[in-house]
Amino acid sequence: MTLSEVEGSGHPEQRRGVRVWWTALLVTTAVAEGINQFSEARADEAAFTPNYFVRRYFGGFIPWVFRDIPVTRQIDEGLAWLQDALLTYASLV
Amino acid sequence: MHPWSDGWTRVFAAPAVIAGVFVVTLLAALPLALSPRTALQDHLGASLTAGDAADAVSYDWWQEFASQATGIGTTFTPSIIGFATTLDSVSALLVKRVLITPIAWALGAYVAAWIFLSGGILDRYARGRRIGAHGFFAASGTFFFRFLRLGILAGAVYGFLFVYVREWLFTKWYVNATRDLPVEHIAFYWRLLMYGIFGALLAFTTTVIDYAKVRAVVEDRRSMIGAVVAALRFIVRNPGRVAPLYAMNAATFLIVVAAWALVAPGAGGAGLSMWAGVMAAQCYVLARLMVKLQFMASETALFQRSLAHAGYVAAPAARRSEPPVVEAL
Repeated sequence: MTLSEVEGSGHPEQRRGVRVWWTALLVTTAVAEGINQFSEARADEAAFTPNYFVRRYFGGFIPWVFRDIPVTRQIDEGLAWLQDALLTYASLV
Repeated sequence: MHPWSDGWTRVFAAPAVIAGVFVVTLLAALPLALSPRTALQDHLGASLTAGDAADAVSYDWWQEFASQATGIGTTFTPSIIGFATTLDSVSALLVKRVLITPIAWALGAYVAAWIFLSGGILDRYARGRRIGAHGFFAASGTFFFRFLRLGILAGAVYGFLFVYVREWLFTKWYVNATRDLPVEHIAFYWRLLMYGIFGALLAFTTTVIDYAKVRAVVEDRRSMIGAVVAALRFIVRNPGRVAPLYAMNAATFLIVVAAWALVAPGAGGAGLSMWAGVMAAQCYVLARLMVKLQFMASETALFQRSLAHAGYVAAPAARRSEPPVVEAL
């Protein structure tokens, strides 16, 4: 697993599996990828709430958790647009 | 007595030196700490967010402030909270980061203050007895221009290390070694190796400069090139004593940092918790300064012990001249 994958989303195998499932349902890979990210973020939110702001030092290898700064997925992690996109798509199909 | 414990004895025997360097550090940092105040007041105003920010961290407001901040305001980031401050400082030292102008000026002034005070501090520790304010500042004045010349030499070496060696280690060797690695932890070990090499070079340079200062004060040397050569000679001839002493002092420093990591408070709110946080942070700064003084005192003790003349300083202690009225009597 690479650092960017740890920072961004879940395990590559997990991502691949979920993407295949969504692609089979929705046909379009791009849409499946968006929904994949969204469902993964929802799962992470359920598993890791409360979530805190993290900053990485020493070239990204040493993380430090700021327990004074709780972050929300919708606002602080900038995923609100993904939720809106999903709702829009759901209303279209 | 071992030079390490002898060093601590000399540090604690001169509380005025500890208080002096603490006040100098506080005065150097205070203007920088107060300067974002107006920008914060203007941005918060009398809004409800001001109340939220006073009670706890308001991250949404913080992001909004950071997006429009300029100058010293750009340093108002989450890294100012608790132990993150220490991580951020050390990380910035090892990972290339350009200082903003106000901080560069403050740092320059602080380094100049240490160059001035170093002569008096080493003279006090070398004599191992009270020399008074007159003797302290006379020694500081005597060694100021010598240490300034030494500082130019040291600056050239540190400049080479930070500009060329760090660049080569972290952007060439490290990048080439970790390109296309299948597992992340191998890259981490490479990173540790780079830090180890760079840290060892910095530690060796610091030790040479430190012993050059010690030899300049104890032997009243005027040539700083001669002092550096003498320091190198001393280190090469006594590696079995210099290295363990440095390791013990470095371990003391790491213990202080680890203790701070355990007890460092969070942001807290306005009122008592805020002042408790300020006090805790100042205790950490004081402990750090005492470890820095311990480096100076223990190295002085080791050098004097190695030459079998503990407490000897070549230059006579400066004495305050009697006022003319006393001579008239």
